[in-house]
Amino acid sequence: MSFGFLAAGFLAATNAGRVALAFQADRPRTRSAALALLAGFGLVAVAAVFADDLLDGLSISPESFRIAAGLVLGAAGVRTLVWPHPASGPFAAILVTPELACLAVSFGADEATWKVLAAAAVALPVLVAAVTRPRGPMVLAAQFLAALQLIVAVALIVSGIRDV
Amino acid sequence: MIRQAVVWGVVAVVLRLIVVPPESCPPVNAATVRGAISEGSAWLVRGQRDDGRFLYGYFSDRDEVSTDYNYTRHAGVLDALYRAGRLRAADAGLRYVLDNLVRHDGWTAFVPVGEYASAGANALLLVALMHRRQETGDDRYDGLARRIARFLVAQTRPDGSVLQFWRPDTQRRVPGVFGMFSTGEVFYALALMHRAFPAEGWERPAHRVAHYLATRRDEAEGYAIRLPDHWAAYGLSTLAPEGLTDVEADYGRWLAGYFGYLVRFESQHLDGGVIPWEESGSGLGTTGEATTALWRLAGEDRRLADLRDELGERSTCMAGILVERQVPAADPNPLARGAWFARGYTQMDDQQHAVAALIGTNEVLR
Repeated sequence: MSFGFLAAGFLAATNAGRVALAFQADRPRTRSAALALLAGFGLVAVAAVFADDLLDGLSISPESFRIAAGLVLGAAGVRTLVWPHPASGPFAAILVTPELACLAVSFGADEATWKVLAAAAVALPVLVAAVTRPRGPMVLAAQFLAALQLIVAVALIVSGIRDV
Repeated sequence: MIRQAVVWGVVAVVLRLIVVPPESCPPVNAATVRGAISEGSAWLVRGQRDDGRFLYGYFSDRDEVSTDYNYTRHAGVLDALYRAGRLRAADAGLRYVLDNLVRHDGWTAFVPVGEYASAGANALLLVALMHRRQETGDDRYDGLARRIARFLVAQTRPDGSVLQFWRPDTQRRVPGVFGMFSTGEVFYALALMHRAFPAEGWERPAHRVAHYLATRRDEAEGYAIRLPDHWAAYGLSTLAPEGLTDVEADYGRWLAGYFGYLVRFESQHLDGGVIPWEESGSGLGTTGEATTALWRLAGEDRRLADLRDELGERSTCMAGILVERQVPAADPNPLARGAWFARGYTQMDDQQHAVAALIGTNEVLR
C-alpha cells in the first residue's frame, strides 16, 4: 500500500469535517479537545502496534480483515454522507470509532508500524485546525471526507478479495 | 457513552460472526492426503459399471442413486483416475469412450449416441490421455490425442473463443453456444499437447485461447463477473515453462487472488457459523486444484514468484478442509465412504475434483 493511500484512509476515517461539526455543537473545553486527539491517536497507535497479535489471536488473515475493515468504513461513510452531524456524546471520544480502529488494525497488519503512525500523523494538523478554527462549509467537508472514506473502503474490499 | 459502547459491541459481534469468522485450516500431512486420495478414487472405482461408466450420484438421506449421466464428467473422472494411479478403472472408462468416437474432416471426437460432440468433454478426454501418457509412458493413444486436439482447434474461432458443440446430424458446429468452462478446458488440453509435442505448434491455438480468456471471455459471453476458472489456472501453469505473455501472467495473478480469497472464505465456514454454508466436493476441489496449479505457476514464472508461499499455504489449507470433510474410510456404507457430500448428495465430479486437488497438494507437501 502506498503512503498516500494510508494517509487518505486516516484523513477520511478521522473526518475533520465531522469533528468540526461536533466541536461546534458541543463547544468543549480545550482539555477535552486535546484529549479527543490524544485518544484518537492512541487508538491508532495501539491498533497498529498490536494488529498482528490481534489478528493471530482471532485467527483472521490480514487479507480477510481488510475486507472487514472496508465494510465497516463503507457503512460509516454512508452514515456520514446521510447524517453528517455526529450523535451527541462525550467530545473526547469523537475519534474513538470502530472505523478508525478497524482501519488502523488493517493497515498495521499490512504495513510497518512507523509507516502507519506517520500516515496517521498527516491527519493530525487537519484535526487540530478543525477543533481550533471550526469554520467554512463543515457539512460539505464531512460529506466530502465520507465520500473519500467510501473510496478507501471499496479499495480495501477489492484488495482483500484480490490478494491471495 | 452507552450508545458508543453499544455501537462498538454491535460492530464487533457482526464482524466476528458474519464478516470475519476465524479461519480454520485443519492440520494435514502427506500421509493423510494420500489416504484421502485413495479413498476418494476408490469411491469412483467401486461405482464403475460393466460398460465403463461410473456411478453418477448418491443421495445419502434417501439411500438412492442418481440415474443421470454426464460425459464431460466421465472424461474428467478418467483424468482424476489416471492421475491417482487407478489405471485399470481409467482404462475401462476409456474403452467406453473408444466405442463412441466420430471421425470427420481429419479430426476425431468422443460423441456418445444421441449427444452432440462437446468441446469440454473432448478437452478433458485429451487431458486424461495426456496424463495417461505421463503416468505410463505408453504412447499408443498419441494418434487419437492429435485427432482430438484437431477437433478442439476446429471448434476454436479466430478470436480464441471456443464453440461448445458440433452436431453429428448436420455435421456442423453449433453457432453462438459457449460453455462456461469448456474454453478453459480446451486451453488446458492444448497446453498439455504443446508440452507433449513441442514441435507441433499446439502452443499457437493455446495462447490464442488464453488471450481470449484473459481479456474478453467474461464480457463477450455475458458473465456479470470474471469467472474463477480453474482450468485456465491449469493451462497457465502448463504453458509457463515455455513462457507466458504479460497479459497471461496478469491473468494468473488475478486468478491467484480470487482463488486465495475462496480458500480463506471456505476456511472461515468450515465449522458452520451463523450463516449456514456447505460447499460441495467439486466446489472445494476446483478451488484447491486452481490454488495448486497457480502455486506451480508461481514457481515457474518469476513475475508471480511473490505469490508462491501464500499459494502453498492456501493449497495445504484446502487439503486440510477436504480431508476433514471426507466421509471416513471406516464408514460402513460403500456409497458414502470416501466421498464428499453437500446437503446429503454426492456426485462423481465431487470425487474427481477433490481427488485432483489433493494430488496437487501432495506435490506442495513434498
